[in-house]
Amino acid sequence: MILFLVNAIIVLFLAAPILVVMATAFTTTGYPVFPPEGFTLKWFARVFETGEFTDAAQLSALLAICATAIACTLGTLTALGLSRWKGRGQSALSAFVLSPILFPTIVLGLALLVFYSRIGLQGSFLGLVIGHSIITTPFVVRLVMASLSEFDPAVEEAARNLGAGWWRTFFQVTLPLIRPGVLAGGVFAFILSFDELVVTLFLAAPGMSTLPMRIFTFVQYSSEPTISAIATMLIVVWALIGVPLYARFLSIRHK
Amino acid sequence: MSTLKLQSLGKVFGNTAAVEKIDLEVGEGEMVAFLGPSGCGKTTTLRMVAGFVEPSSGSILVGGKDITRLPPNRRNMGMVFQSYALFPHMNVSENVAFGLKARHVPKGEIAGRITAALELVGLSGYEARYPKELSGGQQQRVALARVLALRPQLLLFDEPLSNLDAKLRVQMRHEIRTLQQEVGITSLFVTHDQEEAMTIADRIVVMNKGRIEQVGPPAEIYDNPRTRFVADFIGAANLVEGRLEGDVFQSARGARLDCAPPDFAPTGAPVVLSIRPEKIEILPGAGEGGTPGTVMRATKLGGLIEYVVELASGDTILVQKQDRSPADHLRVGEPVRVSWNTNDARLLP
Repeated sequence: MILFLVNAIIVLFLAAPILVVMATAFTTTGYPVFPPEGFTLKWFARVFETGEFTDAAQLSALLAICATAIACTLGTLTALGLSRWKGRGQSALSAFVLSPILFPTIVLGLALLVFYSRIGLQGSFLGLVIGHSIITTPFVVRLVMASLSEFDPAVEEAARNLGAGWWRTFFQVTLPLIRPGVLAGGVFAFILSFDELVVTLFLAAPGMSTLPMRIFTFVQYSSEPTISAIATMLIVVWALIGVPLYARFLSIRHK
Repeated sequence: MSTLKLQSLGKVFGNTAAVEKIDLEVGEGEMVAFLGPSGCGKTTTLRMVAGFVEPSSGSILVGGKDITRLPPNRRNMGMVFQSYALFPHMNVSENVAFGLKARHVPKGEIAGRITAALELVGLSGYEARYPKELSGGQQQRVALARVLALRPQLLLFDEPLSNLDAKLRVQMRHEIRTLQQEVGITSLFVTHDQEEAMTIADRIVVMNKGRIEQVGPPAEIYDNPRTRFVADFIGAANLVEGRLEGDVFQSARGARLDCAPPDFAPTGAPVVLSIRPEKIEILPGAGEGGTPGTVMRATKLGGLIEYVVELASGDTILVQKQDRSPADHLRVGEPVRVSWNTNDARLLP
């Protein structure tokens, strides 16, 4: 009974802000109120009226896709390397590889800004991709290493023994078996990158705006419920695409 | 089908020699078991043959061809692992097909070879099952079918039965032996289980600390151990330290014991007398014949009774007897005499 109550309270605290934001997107007032007054879809229309949000969303998506691809590739290879290397310094190296998770992003942003201005990468899309990859790769490493912990290395040896070269062994045996880890890492990387604000603020060129930057600057100057409409759309998209993906590949172990 | 030849094959890890320059020839169709305690180098030797460990010295010849530097996927060998190492994301038929595809067997031939291999191991009808839907024994049969389908030159077994329960292990042992003789593929079989090695192999290689202690057929290894290690490791043995006084063995505690003449040149250095507990006759009472002693302990081991006898000198001797009738039982503290056929008591340097 107490457990049930505690759970109910936790769920309420998690869900309430989301539901409130979603509700305020439909208010007819010029600012978010709860409970909403009346019903209108004009704030949703407003999102698409100017290109400012859609362009930012496109940039964010592109950035997240690039960062995810890099994080998955580098992260998977790093995890494989770390799990196989039994020499001295293995734990020190994995701690180093995973350290960006604990590193304050504001410091990372500043460091990258200084570094980029030296090598001429400041304000470039490439610079943003690299920055986001640094933030997201450790998560992929961590999750792939977790899935490697239940991986029997003899399986790879069996593949080699049966006549498979390195590529066939990797793509037909190793990768399918660590796929849950790689996919989980990929989902994580995508969300982190899509959501990233601090490092991006440091590195983006003037006029270059990701969706979180756009939202951040918008709320500084305006109180229109447009922002609630964007939030609602993000929640719905995530619920429709992300959650089934999560359930399909991550929580239920395949065959 | 091929012969295998190891020429001063060695492996050094850091400062320690895991395998010290061993030489071995394995004949066509022969099954050779590598037996020894963990860390004796038997698995490292097998992994060098398979190509997973690069030898520090020496060479490996299969059918007269030097394959020492070939990567594992270009050696035509089939390995069966302790953990089965089936591909968990593939069903039985895909598992068997994997090697055939990797070796570019023509498409039309693959299905037939899968069927034949599964039939050989008695798993027809299991094609669509996934490994986790099979028992340990069935999984190991799939692993066997997977390598047999490739018709390898050499079969390598790395403790393949250690993960099975005792009964199944005994059954699979015979199945593997029968299959191996049927297909006639030269095989190496690594195990720490001496009974397994005894039943499965034509010859046993006993290894210890990276060296080969003795190579020979199971009966010879058991009846005629060449070193203290082999006598001690294989079965139970009484090992009595002492030295040769002319033709007579005298234990360090002073007992004079009968033994066969040594088959090595005596140097005056300490020797060991080795005798199997089941070769010893034990007679009740302090009478004529045999070495007198006292029963210190009596233990019933299933169909056997094991006695620990302390000789007058203080040396203790382990004796095993068939437990035929309770009337024959000897009590602790009872005076007895022990004797044996001199040929069963061997001297080891």
